[in-house]
Amino acid sequence: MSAAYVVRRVLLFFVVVWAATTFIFFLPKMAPGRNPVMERIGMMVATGGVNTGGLQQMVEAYQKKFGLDKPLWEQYLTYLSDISHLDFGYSLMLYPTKVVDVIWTAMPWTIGLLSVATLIAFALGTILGGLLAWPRAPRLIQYLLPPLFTFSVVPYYLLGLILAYILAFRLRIFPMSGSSQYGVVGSFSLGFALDVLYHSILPALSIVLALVGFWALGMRAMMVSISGEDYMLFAEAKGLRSKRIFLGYGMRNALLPQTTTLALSLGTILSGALLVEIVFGYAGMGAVLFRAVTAFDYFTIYGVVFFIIVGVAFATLVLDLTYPLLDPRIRYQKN
Amino acid sequence: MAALLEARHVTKIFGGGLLHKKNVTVALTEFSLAVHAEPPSITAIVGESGSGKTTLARTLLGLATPTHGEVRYRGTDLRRLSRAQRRNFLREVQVIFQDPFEVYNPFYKIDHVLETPIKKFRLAASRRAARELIEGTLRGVGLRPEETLGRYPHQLSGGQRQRIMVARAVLLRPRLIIADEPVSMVDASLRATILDSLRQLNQVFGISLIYITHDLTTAYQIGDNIVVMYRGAAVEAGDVEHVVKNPLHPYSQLLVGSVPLPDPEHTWQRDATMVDPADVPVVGLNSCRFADRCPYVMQVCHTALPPLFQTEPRRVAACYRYNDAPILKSQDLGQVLTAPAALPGLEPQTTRGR
Amino acid sequence: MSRITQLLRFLRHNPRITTGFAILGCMLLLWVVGMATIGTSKAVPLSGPADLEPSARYLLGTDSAGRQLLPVIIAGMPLTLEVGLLAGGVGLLIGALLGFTAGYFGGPLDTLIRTAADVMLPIPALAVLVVIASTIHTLLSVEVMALVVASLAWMYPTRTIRSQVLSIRTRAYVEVGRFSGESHLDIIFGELVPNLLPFLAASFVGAVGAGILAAIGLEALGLGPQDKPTLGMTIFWAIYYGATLRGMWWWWGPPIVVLILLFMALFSIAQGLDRYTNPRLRRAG
Repeated sequence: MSAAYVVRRVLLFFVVVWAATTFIFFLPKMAPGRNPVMERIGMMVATGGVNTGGLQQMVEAYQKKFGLDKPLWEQYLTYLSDISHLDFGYSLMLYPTKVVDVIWTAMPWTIGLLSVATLIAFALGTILGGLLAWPRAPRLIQYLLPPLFTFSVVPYYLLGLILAYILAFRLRIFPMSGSSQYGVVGSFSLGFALDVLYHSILPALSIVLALVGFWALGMRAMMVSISGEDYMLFAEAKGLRSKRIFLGYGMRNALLPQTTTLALSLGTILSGALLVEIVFGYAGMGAVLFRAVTAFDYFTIYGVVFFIIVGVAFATLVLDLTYPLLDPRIRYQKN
Repeated sequence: MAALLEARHVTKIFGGGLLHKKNVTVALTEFSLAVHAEPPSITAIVGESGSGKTTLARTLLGLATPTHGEVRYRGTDLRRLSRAQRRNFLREVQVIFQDPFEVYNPFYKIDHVLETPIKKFRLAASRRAARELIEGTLRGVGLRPEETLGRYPHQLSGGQRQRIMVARAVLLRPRLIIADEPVSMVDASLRATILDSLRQLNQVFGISLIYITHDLTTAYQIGDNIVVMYRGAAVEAGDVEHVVKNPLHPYSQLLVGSVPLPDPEHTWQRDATMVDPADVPVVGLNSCRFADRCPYVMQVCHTALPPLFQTEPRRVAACYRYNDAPILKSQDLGQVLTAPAALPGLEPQTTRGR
Repeated sequence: MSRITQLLRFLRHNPRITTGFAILGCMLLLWVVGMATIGTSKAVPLSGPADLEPSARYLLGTDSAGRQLLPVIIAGMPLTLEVGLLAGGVGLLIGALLGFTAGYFGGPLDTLIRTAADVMLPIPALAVLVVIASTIHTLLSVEVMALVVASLAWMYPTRTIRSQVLSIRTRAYVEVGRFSGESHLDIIFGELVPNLLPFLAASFVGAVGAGILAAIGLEALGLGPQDKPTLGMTIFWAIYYGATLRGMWWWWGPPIVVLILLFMALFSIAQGLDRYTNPRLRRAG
């Protein structure tokens, strides 16, 4: 892995972050005719949803940030410096809470749910996919194919709705919504931890079921094309044990393209997970986004979107920099 | 008058650039050749694989651009042709490729390759006239229209497909057809027929031909002149009879000597020194390309690329063994290649108005 | 062999494509019957008492605003399909335009297009779509939403089409075409596109599916047409009005079923076309 590659990848990351922030800056300005944020504030005054003292401060902060009296490039620079300090302004719906704080509280929930679910789905899916392609695997595995296929096609949150109805509403095995018992304050106790776990099972299950099918099918296709390679035939001719060929030669080589697919689909997985959170009222960024959109809390929307884009870009960067370490073939290529 | 098609000091290097400094391949070195429209002649270009003959063909056709030097059509660099000039170029210079399968788009029936030039150059006034033109041309190459038209490429044999390609090239009545190994992927039994059609094109329509091949025997069959190439440069050129019967350059002698004679009395040359080409190091640009395989190598051969020594009015050889002969400038190579003397009793070919 | 027999033979050898079209066909049939018998007039609010369970009178019950849900489904199916076709179609069109330009002409143009697509691909589309859609939310009709989705749907088709073009543009028949007087446009549309038709068809189906998926994602947040009962918006209203907590399965259930069938059909067809264009996959069975 050359230094040039690392530099290029890191540069790409910053380009993406910059592009995202610039986009978020310019879009509201290009909204035909009016400025949605100002409109929103005006609407809040009209409906009396905010005390006028706070409103004055908000308008001032708004003026300062989007300093409509200052030239555009100066507004842009101020904006950029604010963003780099993670200052997204105040949440319109939860004033006087700052956007950053709202996101900060929600983020751990999302990251927790997402990483656990993705890892389980990836591991399970990859193994299942490999087995599905291996002729010596037990026949029973093949019966998993149709349901996996069906699940992989359905958007996660729709799956979540169905699961919520069946397992929570009808059968009352799991809680309907929320990430923890309503009204209980978070603490580092075992009871709380278990409670969180209990509430996370359904959302996680929705994600896992949908993702497993996707990974399994991908892995299966990969294994099929690899099993046609000459080195597999050679390994078999050498008399290596079937399990050894399967794990050491087959799975290991298919793992790299799988990881590449992982890197490319991070954005999609995150989007899906956010929608699942909405269905289950899970206190992660998905719920924040939902409330922000319904309340037209633009500052929060932009803040959440920024974190999503940067988060995915960062995770992709990490993956891009680690899998050359996994696969020597990549390491020695110039590109 | 400007030549119809002229390569001037064309050098083509593959690889190179910033990243691959070590893996360069010099396909052509300072190659020059002028082809004139009149009188129509058949020039065979012979070389083994790696001699640069296909690169030469592609550069002459404009399918590849020279790294140094240029290719000119009637005086204008191919890269700078205007729309109108390019149309003229296509009308005067046509091509026949080696592979009779890849040249057909599998989506279409073979009629497509014949109808396209007619449509694009408006060679026929009506659909019926186009049809007649196609049928006539097909018969001209020895094919029966009812057996070939309306079929898909995979439904025809290699020989049929290649002959259709000849027909396509002829439709535009070009001055020059460049054929890159047209028969090497065709069954041996059909080769003679196709070569005969090509010969006919030259005699009946006055079309000049540049026939590129690795096979000396077909070159001898069809060519009036021959240019022998070795590793990117011309080593010998001249009248085909003279070159084959009396090869001057050591490489030509090797080539001619490798053709087996169907005569049990003549044993195949056993004393020709053969060196495995894989052992041959990359030859620098400052020595004879054949120096490391040459049985007659001298000190001078390693000092500079041998120029073309004109040993007879119509013969050149790039070998220091003939360095008492006058030197011919490389861009004048075309002068050595002229049409066969008109046979008594035959009318000289007249130019047809365009 | 007549065209019909050819088509039937093709379908028989491609069970996936056949299944996909069969599902779509059934849905179309049901929709036609529905339009003929029930119509969509009752898909608007106040068409009946609110929150009713399915009964003989109201076959799929009603929602909290009084819409009758069977007409809602009948109205929603073509709307959602329209979003998919428009978003997928426009996305593919842009992708094909850019992909062919990049792959055929190469050079700096290719580098520009390729870099743009590569930079934008890993960006989570939903995030950007949310920003756009929330800013222009009052303008969000079905068509506008489809175009918004299409604006982020071109990157993947651009890349895949480009690599396909790269693989066939050096074929000898392209060079022969040039020597027969074909212009670059003739080559692209006359020689390259016909050979890529199966691939383009598979890409189209994939793009339609992805378009519907993205649209539903937006609608799940409420960022869809506020007055039309698309399947996604229906689900949104259900969540918004707490139908999940109230166990009103007849509200959000049928749209989900229709969507699942739709996705299965599209995915099936896409896989079948993929198998057709790439014979190597046929071995996988």
